[in-house]
Amino acid sequence: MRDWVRLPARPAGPGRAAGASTPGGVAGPARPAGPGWSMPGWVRGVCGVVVFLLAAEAFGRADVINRAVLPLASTVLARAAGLAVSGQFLGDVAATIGAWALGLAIAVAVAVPAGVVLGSLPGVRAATRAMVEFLRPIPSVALIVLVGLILGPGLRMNVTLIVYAAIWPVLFNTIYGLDDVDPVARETLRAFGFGRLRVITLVDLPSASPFIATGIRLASSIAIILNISTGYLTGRISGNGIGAFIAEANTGAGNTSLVLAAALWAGLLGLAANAVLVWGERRVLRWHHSYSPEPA
Amino acid sequence: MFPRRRTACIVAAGLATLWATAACGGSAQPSTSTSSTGTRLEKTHLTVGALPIVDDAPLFLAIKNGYFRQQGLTVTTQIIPQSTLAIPDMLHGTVDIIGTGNYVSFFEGQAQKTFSIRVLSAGATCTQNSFGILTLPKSGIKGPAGLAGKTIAVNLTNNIQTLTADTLLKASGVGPASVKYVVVPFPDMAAALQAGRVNAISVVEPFMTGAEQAMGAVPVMSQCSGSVSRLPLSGYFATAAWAAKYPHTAHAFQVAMAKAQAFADANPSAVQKVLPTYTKITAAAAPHIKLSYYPPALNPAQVQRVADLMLAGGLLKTPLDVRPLLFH
Amino acid sequence: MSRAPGRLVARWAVIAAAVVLWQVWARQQGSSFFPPPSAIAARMYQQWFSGPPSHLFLTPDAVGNVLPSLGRIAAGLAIAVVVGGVAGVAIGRSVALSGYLDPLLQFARALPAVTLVPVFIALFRLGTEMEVATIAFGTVWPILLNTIDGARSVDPVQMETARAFRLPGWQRLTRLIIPATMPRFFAGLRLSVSLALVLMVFAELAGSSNGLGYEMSNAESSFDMTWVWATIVLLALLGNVFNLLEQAVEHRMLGWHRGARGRMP
Repeated sequence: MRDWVRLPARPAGPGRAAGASTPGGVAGPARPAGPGWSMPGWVRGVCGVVVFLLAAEAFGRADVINRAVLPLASTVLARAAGLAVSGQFLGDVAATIGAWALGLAIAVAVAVPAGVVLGSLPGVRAATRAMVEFLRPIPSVALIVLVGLILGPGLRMNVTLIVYAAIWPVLFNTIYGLDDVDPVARETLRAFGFGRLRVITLVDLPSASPFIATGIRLASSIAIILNISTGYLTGRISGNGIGAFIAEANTGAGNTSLVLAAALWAGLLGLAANAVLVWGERRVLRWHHSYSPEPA
Repeated sequence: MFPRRRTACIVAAGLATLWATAACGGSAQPSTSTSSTGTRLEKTHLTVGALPIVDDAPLFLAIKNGYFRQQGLTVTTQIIPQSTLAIPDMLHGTVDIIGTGNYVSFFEGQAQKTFSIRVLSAGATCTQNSFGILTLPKSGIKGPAGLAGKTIAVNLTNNIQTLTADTLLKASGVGPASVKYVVVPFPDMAAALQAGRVNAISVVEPFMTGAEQAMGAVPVMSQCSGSVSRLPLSGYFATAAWAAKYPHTAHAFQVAMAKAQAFADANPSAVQKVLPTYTKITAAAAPHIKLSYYPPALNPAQVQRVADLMLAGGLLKTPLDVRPLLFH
Repeated sequence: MSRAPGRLVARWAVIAAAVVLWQVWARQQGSSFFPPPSAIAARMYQQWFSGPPSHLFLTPDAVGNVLPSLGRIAAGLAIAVVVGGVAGVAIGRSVALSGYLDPLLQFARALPAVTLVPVFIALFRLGTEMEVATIAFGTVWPILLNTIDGARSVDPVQMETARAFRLPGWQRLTRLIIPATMPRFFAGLRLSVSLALVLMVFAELAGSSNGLGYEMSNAESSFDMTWVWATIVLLALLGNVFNLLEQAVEHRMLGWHRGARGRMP
C-alpha cells in the first residue's frame, strides 16, 4: 500500500506541496532568489506554449506527415474554437463534468470512511489487505461491457465505473495519511477521555487531510480519463459525453482535426478540474502546517 | 448491418435529464389503443434501434408509408453504430426493439444464457454482390487463395463476417487460421485499406460501393455464395420478456414490418429514395448501391441455417433450435 | 514474530471467504452475469494454462494472445522509462527549461490517451506499433514529471560540496543527481506500471488482431460471460504481478541508493 505520492514530510511552501511533485499539480516556478527582476514563471510557460505551437505549425506546413493524418496546428485550433460555441459539444462537456463530479463525490464518500476504518483498525486492515490489493489493478476499461449489461447504459454505468476506479487512490491516501498522524496528539486526547470517534474527527482526519486531498486530485484525473474512454468505446447510445463525441467525430478520414480539437478541450478540462481542486484544497487546508503561505 | 457509423443523436444533456432518462427507462407511458385487427395494444410508442445500412430500409419505409400508424403504433428510431452496443439498452428498457441486429450475436447471447430474445421480423438476406471482401488492385490478391496470411478488417469478430469468410475460405482450401481479423468500424475501413493498414476489408453495402468508387477497390470473394448463399443476415429483436409482456404490440409490429419488407423487395426505387434519410449515402450515390433481399416472413428453416453454421464454425457449443425464438 | 503466521492466515482468510460466498451464491442463483468461481477457474485453466509442460503449461492461445500483450507493455514502458528518465533529469536540472515546458507537460499529462488513439491508428499501423505508441505516450508523463521534480530537489549543499571538490560533471550526475532523483522516479514508475495495463487493454479494444484486450472483446461479442470474467481475473493477476515486480526492483535500487547515500559526505 505504499503506492501513491506522499507529500514531503517537512513543512513546505504552497509551491512545493501543490507543485509538480504531485501528479497534475499546478506549475510552481522557483521564486527569484535575490533582488532584481527575473522573468515571472508564467511568462516562461506562455513562451513555451507559443514556441511549441509555432514549431508544430512549421512542422505541419513542411508536409512531412500527410495532413489528413496529422492536421496543421492552426486547423486544430480553429476547430477547437468552433467547438467552444457548438451546443452539442458543450452538452457533451456538461455530461462529462456531471458524471465526473457525481462519481468523484461518491468515491470520496465511500473511500474516506473506509480508509478511516481500515487505517484505525489494524486487524481489519490486515484481513482485507490481500483482497484490496488483488482488486486494485483491474482496469475499469475491462469492466465496461459487464457493468453495462448488468446495470444498463447511461449515467448509472458511467458513474459506477468512475467510482470503482476513483476509490483506490482516495482510499490508499487516506490510510497513508492516518499512518502519519502524530501519535502523541492522539494519545493526549484519549487520555482526556475523548471517545474513539471524536479523536478521529478532531485529530486524525484533519492531520491526514493533505494526503486525502492529493488522493482526491489523483482520483479526479483518473475519473475524467475513464469517463472519456468509456464514452469512446460505448458510443452515443450509452449517453452523452466527450468520449461519445470523439467516437462520432472519428468517422471516416479527414476528421482528425475534430478529434484533436476535442482532445485539446479534454486536456484543458482535466487541467481546470485539477486547478479547481487545488484552489479548494488551499482554502480548506489553509491552517495546515504544510500549507503555510510563507516558505519555511 | 454491422457498421459503427456515428450519426449525431442529440439526447438532452444535463444531470437531471440524464438521471431521469436512466431512472425512468422505457418510452412514454404505455397507453392502449387498438391495432388494425381490433385487439388492444399494450404499448403504442416504440423505440427501435436502427443501423444506418441498407438492411434497415424497410423500417424507415414502414414509418414513411404509415404502416405502423395503421397498426396503431408510433415508432421512434435511434441510430446505433453496432447492434450489440444497443443490447444493454434493450435489456434495461430504453430501447424496445433492435433493428437488423445480426443473428449471430443474438444467438450467441441466447446460447450463453446471457439474455433471452425473440425474433419479431426478418431483416435482410444477403445477396451475392452486397456482402464480400474487397481489396486494392495493387495488393495482388486474386481470389480466396490469395487471402492466406493476410489481414482482413471486419466490423465485429466472432460474427457473421468471420463465420462466412471462414466457411468459404475452407471451401477454397485456405485454412482460416492463417487469416488475421482486425476490428475496424465500417466507416474507417476504406481509409484503412488505402493506407495499407489492412490487406482486405469485409464490407456490406453501402460501404462496398463506397470503397469501389473512392479508390477502385475490387472484390476478392463474395461472402454470400456457395454454401452460404441467400443466408439470412439480420432480424428485428426484442427480449423474450418484452414479447411476453406486449404480445399484441409485438404482433402489430410484425404485421407492419411484413408489409414493409414486401414493399421494399418489390420497389427498389423506393428503397433508394429512403436511404439518404437515415444513412450518409447521397441521393446521387443511392442508385448504385446493391440492395439485399427483404424476406417478408420469418422462415424457420432458413434462420436455422445460421445456427447450424455457428455450430459448425465453433461459435456454438451445442445445437440451437431457433424455432422457439421466432415470435408468432 | 509469533503473530506473523496469524496475520498471514487472516489476510487470505477474507479472500477465501469471499470466494466461497460467491461460489455458493452463484450456484444457487445461476445468474449468467456472475458465474461461480469454479467455472471461472476451470475456464482460465482450459483457456491458458492447460498446455504442454514444454511450453510452461501455456496453451497456444496464451502464447498467441497473452505474451504479445505483455511484450507490448514491456516495450511501451521501456520507451517511457528511457525518455522520461533522461528528459526528466535534463529538464529538472535546468530551471529555465522547466519553466518553459511546465505548462505544456502538465497539459500533455492531462490529455486522455483515448483521444489520441485515432491519431495513433492513422500514424502507425494497426496492431503492435499503434499499441506500443499509445502505452509509451500514456506512461511517459508520470515518470517524466516525477523525475523532473526529483531532479529539482537535489540537496544544494551536496551540489556545492561536489563543485568545491571539482567533481567532474558525469560524476555529479551518477553519484548525486541520479540517486537523489530515484525515489521520485520510482513513484512515477509505480503509477505508470498500473497505467500501462489499462492502456494495453484499451488500445487492443480499439484495434488489434491479437492480445488480451482483443481476446476480451471477442469474449464480450460472443456474450460468453465466463470467458469475460476469466479475462478480468487474469488481468487482476497480471496487475498484481507487475506491482510486485516493480516493488522488488524499487526495493533493490533504492536499497543500494540508501546505502550509497549513507556513504556520501
